[in-house]
Amino acid sequence: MEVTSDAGDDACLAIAQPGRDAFRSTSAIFDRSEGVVPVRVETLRDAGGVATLTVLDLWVDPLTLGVARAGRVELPLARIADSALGAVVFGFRASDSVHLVVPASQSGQVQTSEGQLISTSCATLRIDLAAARGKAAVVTGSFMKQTPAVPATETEPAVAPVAVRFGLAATLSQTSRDPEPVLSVVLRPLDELPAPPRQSKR
Amino acid sequence: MKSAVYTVLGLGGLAASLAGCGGAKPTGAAVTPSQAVASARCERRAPGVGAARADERRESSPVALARLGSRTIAYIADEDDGVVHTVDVAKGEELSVTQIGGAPSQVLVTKDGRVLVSLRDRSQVAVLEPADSPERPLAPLCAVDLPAEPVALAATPDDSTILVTSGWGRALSALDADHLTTRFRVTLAREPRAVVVSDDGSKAFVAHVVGSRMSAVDLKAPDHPVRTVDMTGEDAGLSRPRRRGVVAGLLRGEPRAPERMGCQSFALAKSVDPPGRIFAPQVLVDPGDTEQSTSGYGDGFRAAEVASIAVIDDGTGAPLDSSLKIAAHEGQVAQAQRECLLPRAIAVDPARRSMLVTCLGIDAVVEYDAASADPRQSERRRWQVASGPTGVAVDQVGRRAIVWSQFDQAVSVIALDEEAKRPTMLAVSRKAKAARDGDYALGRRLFHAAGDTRIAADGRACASCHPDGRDDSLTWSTPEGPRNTPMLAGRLTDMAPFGWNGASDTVGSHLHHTLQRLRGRGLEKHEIAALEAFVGGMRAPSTHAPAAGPAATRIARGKAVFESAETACASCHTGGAAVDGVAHDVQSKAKADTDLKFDTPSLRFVGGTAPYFHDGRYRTLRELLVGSDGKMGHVSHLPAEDVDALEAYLRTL
Repeated sequence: MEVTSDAGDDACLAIAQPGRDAFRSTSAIFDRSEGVVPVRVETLRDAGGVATLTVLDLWVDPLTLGVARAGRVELPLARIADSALGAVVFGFRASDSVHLVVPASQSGQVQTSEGQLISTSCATLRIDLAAARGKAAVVTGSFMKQTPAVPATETEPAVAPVAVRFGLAATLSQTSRDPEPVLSVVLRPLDELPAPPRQSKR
Repeated sequence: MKSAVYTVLGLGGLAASLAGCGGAKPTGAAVTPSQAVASARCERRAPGVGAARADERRESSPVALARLGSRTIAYIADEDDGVVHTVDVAKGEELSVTQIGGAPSQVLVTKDGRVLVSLRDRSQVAVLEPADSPERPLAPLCAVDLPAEPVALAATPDDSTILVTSGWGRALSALDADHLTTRFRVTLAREPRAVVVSDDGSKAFVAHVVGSRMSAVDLKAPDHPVRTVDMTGEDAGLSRPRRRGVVAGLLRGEPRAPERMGCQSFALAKSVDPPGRIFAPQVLVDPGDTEQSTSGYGDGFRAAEVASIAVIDDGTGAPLDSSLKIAAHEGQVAQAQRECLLPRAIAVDPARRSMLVTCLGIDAVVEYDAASADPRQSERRRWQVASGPTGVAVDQVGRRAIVWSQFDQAVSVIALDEEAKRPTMLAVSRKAKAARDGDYALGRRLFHAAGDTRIAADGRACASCHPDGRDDSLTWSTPEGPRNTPMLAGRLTDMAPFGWNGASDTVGSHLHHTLQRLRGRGLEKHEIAALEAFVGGMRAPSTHAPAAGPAATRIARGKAVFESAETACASCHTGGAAVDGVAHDVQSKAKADTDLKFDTPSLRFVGGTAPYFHDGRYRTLRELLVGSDGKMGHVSHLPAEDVDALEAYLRTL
């Protein structure tokens, strides 16, 4: 059975089951024999400079096609880092851990310093960081993001979006003198930008 | 622009060189009151006159900043010309030149505006004061004798004490800030460089170019104990089976070795936001499995060298593991041309919560996030600067970074708040050079050329294994077996043949062979000649044997022992540091060695080049003397005081 969210292109299905690698995608396929499975649908909204993450938890029964809602929460996000080419990292804090939400329009993959891979093939990459005092959590990787389209003006032609690969390094650490964990997020384009494709003025 | 010439005057007898002090284990050693010579000559003669310290930075660098009214003044130590340049940073204009009479290494501006300059070649720190106008040269006050090669300086947070590291002298000296008299001195491990003091003033952290360590010196305890901070991550469990290979690696109980060794730690900086972090740019090295024969230097499983910036918690004195950990997929050769494999200076920019690191070889300044637990992963920006960037300071008022490039003798000014703007170049006055210096200059650039695939396919430079022309204290796996890196500076003249097996008759042919090992594409003939000129002319450490007293007597006794027929040392090491130019079998063949015989190595500077033998099997000179008994010379019959004397003599060579 294939499960697809109808919450739009900004929604991601986050699947985490025992025995399966956690993954994020626009849809997920379950075998009917798996029994009832938990499914989380996360939707990023970034409107007017205010970003939120809506988290909807569901139980899905592949056998009966029944869906039961387990909970829904809307989290305000802080803008943590951005790049001149349109990439941005949002996040929220829960106790001593930090959760990053990275809009990634095509794909992305990061790796923790312990070697764990975190990937996405939907609209957002999600990274959770937690660090005890004297320790650190480190995540590095890259993701694709389209630069925003630039409409034509009286003098300049329109510029079409270009897919750019961005590098991301995020760490959370707490030394003996830090009253709270310290977050570092660095975001920068890894590719040399090609000359923007020019479109004729209409 | 005006200039002045003077020769620094020592406070004779203030401090004897520690280069000859035995024992590799760092220990605290307070100077007795009789050794502390009081002097008023180092105090300011014109208090309050001239430029004052620009900010709260209390660590030296080849570039130090001062403020005079609204002007930011940079004092720049120019080792090649033996001068300190005074530069108006905003105007991009050289104001004056002070000729020092030695080779100035680093500059520190004290709280009262005095300018302290370390002179490596003279084993002194020169103390100067500014005139009322920066257009006039600095005025000399005094010079302080210190153990061999004073390099870096730092003031304690209360500005009462000046700390000075001595590279070849392996020491940290604590001086009274007013009079520059010695308060105490501790012996350190090999090649100490930068020093910073914890915010509470209780500890001094000292970087070491080799040995995978940092020293943490207790400034408060009466005997000033020294604690070693492991910079490999081994203490935190970052280790691998000592022998490579699937079966060996899987065996239970297999001895383990550090994943990588730390090297090239020349510079340190303290964070401001967040506080309490010490940053140590370095390189993490994998010299390969020395029990196996390999095709080059290192076994090629992973990049031999990966840039790193260790983050040390100044409260606990322990590094964050994350800053020392290199994942298996990292350090790819493809990135080598951008890697900062020869970091030399660092400055913190509190306004952007970042740090700036200068990189020799790739001639770049790289900005990293100062809040990162693994800064090398958190690069923000980089700039190309003039060749040989050895110093950097941040002008917080003008929002600029001032970078000194020794090879080009030029200043690059970076506008920190302007994106994608190229640095502005500022030339300073230079002494006329002889034609022969052209080869030396080219050779110096080539020696430090990281990322040049003509030299090494993986981006290594000659200076990667020979920092400051010396050795990395590592033993590398090679096609002929394990090879301990030899020191070059001051050790090549009349020392043919070259290489552990004496396979090369000339330095040039050995260089050619070395580039092949590094899988470099090769250099032109004139470039090899330039490299020869540079390595042959590199400044050797300054060593001084005492002329009189018990130490001199002991050294004379050691010389007699060395030359005696009983020990037979001089039968191969002719005349002390000279060699017989012959390969011998001294029963030292290691598992991966392809030859039994090894060329007699030079003993010049042997006291400062541990470990010993071609495979680095002896960690100390004493271990070498005792362990090689009967295989090359005889010492077991000697009374302990004669072995002491022999060791003392060897340390003077």
